[in-house]
Amino acid sequence: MDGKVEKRNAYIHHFRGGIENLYTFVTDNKVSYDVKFKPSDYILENRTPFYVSAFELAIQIAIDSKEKSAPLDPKIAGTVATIFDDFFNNNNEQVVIYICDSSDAREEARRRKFNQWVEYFKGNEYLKVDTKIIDPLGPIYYSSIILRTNNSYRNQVIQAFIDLADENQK
Amino acid sequence: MITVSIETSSPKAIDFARKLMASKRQSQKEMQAFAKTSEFQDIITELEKKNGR
Repeated sequence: MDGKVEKRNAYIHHFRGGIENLYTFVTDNKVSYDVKFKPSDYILENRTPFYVSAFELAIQIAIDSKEKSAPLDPKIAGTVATIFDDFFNNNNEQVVIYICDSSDAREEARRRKFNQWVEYFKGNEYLKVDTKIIDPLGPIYYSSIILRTNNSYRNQVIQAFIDLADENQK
Repeated sequence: MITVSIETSSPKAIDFARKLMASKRQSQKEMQAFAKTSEFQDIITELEKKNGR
């Protein structure tokens, strides 16, 4: 998106704010979405030699359409991109962490949907680290971190996630 | 979007994923509760008006 999403490609969103940075938007098909960036400092605690402002991303349908099969809506991706820009414009150094819900074995479909949305971030303004975490006793977890490419701690944050994945790291 | 991909079964990564998933479920419950409030309904009504303009 080269940093900007044209308004015609996105729905108007409402920023409720609060400690969990809650955004809401509603589509033409009457589907309401909540997008939340919940502070999650514990996630990177002790993994980097400096403080990283980390947030867990949750995107959820708050009210579903009454129609059973609402058509695919390309404006949703534009809206999510607009919300990301708004959130990161407040603090360029923030790191966002997302994990696909695996409680109903649909994590792969959610990963594809999430990737489809963030692919809207064309250009090199954002950087994403995808981690596929295979739990031998449970599901496969698909997790991603997203940060601005010009984040001052970019290399250290990426290294922290590589270390997390490294079996030999203590 | 620049993308880097990692695959792992490290215990640290699994612990990280489990904590993140537990937090996500808590968030989902909170958002479901908020969606039932009159404040949320007011927000939706306002957004639908703005979308219609």
